[in-house]
Amino acid sequence: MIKFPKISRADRPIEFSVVAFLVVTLLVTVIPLWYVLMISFTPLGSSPKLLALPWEWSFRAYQELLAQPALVRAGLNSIILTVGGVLISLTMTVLTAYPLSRKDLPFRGFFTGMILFTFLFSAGLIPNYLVIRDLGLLNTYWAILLNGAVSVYNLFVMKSFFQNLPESLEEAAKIDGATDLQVLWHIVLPLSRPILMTIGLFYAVTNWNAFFEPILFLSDRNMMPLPVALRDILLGLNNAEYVESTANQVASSDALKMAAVVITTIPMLAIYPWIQRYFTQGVLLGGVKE
Amino acid sequence: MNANVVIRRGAKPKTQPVLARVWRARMLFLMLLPGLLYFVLFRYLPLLNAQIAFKDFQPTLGVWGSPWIGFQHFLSFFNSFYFSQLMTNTLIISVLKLVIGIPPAIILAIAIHESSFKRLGRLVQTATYLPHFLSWVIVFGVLLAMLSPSEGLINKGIVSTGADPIGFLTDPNYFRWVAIFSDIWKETGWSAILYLAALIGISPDLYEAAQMDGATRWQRIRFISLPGLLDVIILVTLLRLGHILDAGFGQIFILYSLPVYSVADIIDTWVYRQGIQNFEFGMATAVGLFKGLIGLLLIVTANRIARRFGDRGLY
Amino acid sequence: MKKWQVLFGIVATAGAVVSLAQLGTAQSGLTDISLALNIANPESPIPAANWDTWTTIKDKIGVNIKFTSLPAAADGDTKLGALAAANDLPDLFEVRNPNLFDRLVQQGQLASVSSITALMPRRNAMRYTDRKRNALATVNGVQYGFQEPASLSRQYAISIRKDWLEKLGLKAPTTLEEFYEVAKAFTERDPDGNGKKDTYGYGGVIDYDTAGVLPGLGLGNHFQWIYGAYSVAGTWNYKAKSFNANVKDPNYRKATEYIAKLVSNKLIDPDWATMKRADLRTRWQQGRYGMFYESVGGLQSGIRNFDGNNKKAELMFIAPPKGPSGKAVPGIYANAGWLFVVSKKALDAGKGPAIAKFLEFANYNEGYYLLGFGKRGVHYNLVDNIPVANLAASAAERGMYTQLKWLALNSNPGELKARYAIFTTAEKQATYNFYEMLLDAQNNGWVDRTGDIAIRAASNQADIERYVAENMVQFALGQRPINDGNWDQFLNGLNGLNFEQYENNAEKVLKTGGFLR
Repeated sequence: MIKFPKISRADRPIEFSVVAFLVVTLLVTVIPLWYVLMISFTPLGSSPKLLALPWEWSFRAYQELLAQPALVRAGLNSIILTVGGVLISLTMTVLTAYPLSRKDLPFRGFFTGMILFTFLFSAGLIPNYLVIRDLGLLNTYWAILLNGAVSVYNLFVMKSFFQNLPESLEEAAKIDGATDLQVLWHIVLPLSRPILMTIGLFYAVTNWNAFFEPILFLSDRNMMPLPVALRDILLGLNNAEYVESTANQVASSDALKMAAVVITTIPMLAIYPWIQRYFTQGVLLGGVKE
Repeated sequence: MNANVVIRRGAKPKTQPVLARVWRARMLFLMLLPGLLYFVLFRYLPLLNAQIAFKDFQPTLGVWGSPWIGFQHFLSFFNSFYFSQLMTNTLIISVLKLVIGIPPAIILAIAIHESSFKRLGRLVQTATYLPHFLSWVIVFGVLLAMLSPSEGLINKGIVSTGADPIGFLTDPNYFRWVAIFSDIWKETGWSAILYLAALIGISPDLYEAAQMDGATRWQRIRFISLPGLLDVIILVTLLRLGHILDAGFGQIFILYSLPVYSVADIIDTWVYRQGIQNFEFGMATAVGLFKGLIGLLLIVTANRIARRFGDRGLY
Repeated sequence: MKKWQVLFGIVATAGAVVSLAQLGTAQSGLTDISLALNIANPESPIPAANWDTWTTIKDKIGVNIKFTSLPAAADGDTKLGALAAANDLPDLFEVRNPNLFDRLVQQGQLASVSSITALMPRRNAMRYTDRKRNALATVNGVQYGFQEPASLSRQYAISIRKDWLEKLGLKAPTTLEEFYEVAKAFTERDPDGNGKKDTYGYGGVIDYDTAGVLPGLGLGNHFQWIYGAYSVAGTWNYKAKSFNANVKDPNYRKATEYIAKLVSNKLIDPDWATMKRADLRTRWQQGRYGMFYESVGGLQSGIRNFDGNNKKAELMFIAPPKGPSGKAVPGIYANAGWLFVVSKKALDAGKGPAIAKFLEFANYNEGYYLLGFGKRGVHYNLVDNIPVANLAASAAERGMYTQLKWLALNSNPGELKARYAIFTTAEKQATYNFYEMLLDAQNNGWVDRTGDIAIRAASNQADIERYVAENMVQFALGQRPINDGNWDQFLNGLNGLNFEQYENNAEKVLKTGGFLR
């Protein structure tokens, strides 16, 4: 049973609009997603239905995809890239954003401007590629991990959050003789959990979805992450002009395409509730307790 | 009281010699070092290579050895047949995405934050976050299933009222709206995460105090939540202004088709067809620099305006 | 670049140490060849460095292959573009984009291959003796690549629902008028008998694929046969005396009017202008189209899904319908297959003989079967001299062993029979012999436009392509009515795009190549 919270009479219209808005949003979002799921369950030789019954579902597309030996390795590669990417990116972003958020950093304006400049002027494909090559990073994961280590957008968001923290806490700690690093570690970071989680998630998703950088910077196909491997598989199955024979096709190409989407999305769906926990806690209180 | 003294000292540091200030901030500099190194190596060095925008780039001669050709790449872009159309389309799509796209994310974040039914809020949050993971190719498939004149669900509804089906994806009158609303559908939940994080950051004391004073739900949203979001909203808007000439290559490239080129072809899709597919990397780089220049102008202006209205701005 | 290279030399040194260590282990007497190709079976694994076929090649001919697979389609071009920009091209590689080939030649990154062809007499005699074809890889008298013969060309045709024809008591159309009437019946007379008006006479999309076809300027492959019926297939008319771009021919307008008529009477799926090839395939497999343009490979890979969706249905090919002057053309094609090139760096490093040895090895006997079909008895068996896949080996493994097959295969009937199988439907009402269908499709009167490949892209190529295609779509959709005013306006607009210059260049190139008649 749903427990209805107490709502005062004055708040009823707004409460009603909030719930109505959320329900409509939910429907608008979920129906197309449901359709994607249903297409992935469509058996060979029938058309996708929005309201297919569970016993009409076929899992052949998933079986066929997961039977591809290349997929497991690609999944592992993706995990390495994602975990490594988040660790490196989050550390670098925090370490850069924190000093920039401090008013007492000399030349702060210069540094900020210098970073903002790179947000506006990116050199583009080939100039970037040439640098990665000259640094000797081609064909290593470092090319991807380091090249995208700091996103200026995320950096500025984090800096802005640090700036909004009450200064008094930091100052009090400094009076007690804490160094800047200790202040960052013991005071600022515990207070910033929601934004750390958010930015961490942003980085994780960027790396998880990385498609073009691996293709450009890596040559060894065995190092490719999941999105590249999945696309290769789909391409092979769709590339009918060069197809070998019909003997092996057990699922329609649409089902395979959508199953591939579901497979790549599930890990990101799985970590989300875990991150969501940090969006519901009273953060400041938690911080003060430490 | 001690804290006040420290703050006041920090507030007028200009009176102290630079070296002393640098020395005192040595640990901050140390923290900054990896980041700065990153920007120099991975952002500024490529910009040195971006000189190929002004050169006839010959790989065998290298970037530095290739002959200069001045602004030829820029001119071939400015003088190209569709230039004014490309600029118009890019600006319209980009500005509409900015203006129409930001409010839904804010409203969604507030609604999730305000909802008394926490489970519903969490469910909506998870569901709206998912479309971000669908590539545009997949979204195109979904759009076709919804909007196609022959089999789309929406068009079936339209036909059942006796009207003619609408070619949402092929009619120049509708295409931009399809682009903008599909972008909102895909990204709103994702953008809302940031606002949600900001809302969580607002001290619960403020809400409690307001409740004590008998403030209504609406008043709490109006006078606590929205002001608490203002900084992030301004920040996001400023940053997006810097990329105003990026109207969403990944999306347009998949969604557009010949019947709607006149309203859909943007700078980046053109650069892809003309610059990348024909291996004119110098020209592609030149257009990139041009886009940066426009972004710079806009961001500097907007930042000045933001600061005039009392916001901290970007820098 | 030198200055900062020194600055950050530490990183580079680390890389150098690793590569030196690798060099140290190279065996003497072996030549290392770096090879980059589009793999033949993207869904199958890529051979690893310890693949036994590499060892076989090493033992037999003393060549040590270092293989890189190129990303598919445009990404592969971009990757090669990046490698080229960094002056890091592989020794032997494949170029699928004529613009890239052109650019690499201009930049002096490709080697003249004549010294290499001289070292592989058999392969040369079998594949590289056609003067016209060689002209495609020749710039200013120097041949910069191995232009292979066409491998899978001309495999498209119009398919028709034979069961619908019978049900409605119609005959297969042979002219454009009959095509229109049959399309109308398929659209309006509920051929699938489900009581709904949900079928369309013709399914085609705007498609610029180049696998064995040439799209040319305009609406692409799936509508080319209509322009062909009006004698204006392809971009150029290939006439020596009155060379012209086909768009300027009055017949081009007539063909566009015919398409507009099909569209305005809703005989073509109204999504035609937005759909992609994959969407078209989904829909014919669902049984929505009476007629559609599809390749034999596309039919073969979709037939099971089609059969499941449409019990008792049957498809067959029809010859392209004739136009007013009796002309019938399924499309245009280039009589040329893959293009393999050698980087100048590799030739300068003395790798020519090793490359020749490798290509010759792939051309006949042992090497041909090994790269083309895998290991005998494991991945295939010879039945009546036709290599038949051994289904005991997994599809993934067979796929992996034949990733380099395009270096070996030469489109002899044995290969094609191995590739195009026979399929019998679940209820046994129809049997499709795809090999026979391929032969039918290929002999439908295709127009050879091989010379198109030799024409260098105009400096505003993308704008020209967009202009013509966009205007044709607007005319076909009725967004702009086709009348004298609008058509003249369209033709005059070409002047703003320097079309004249593009045309003159094309004429010059085609004349020199001996393509004009």
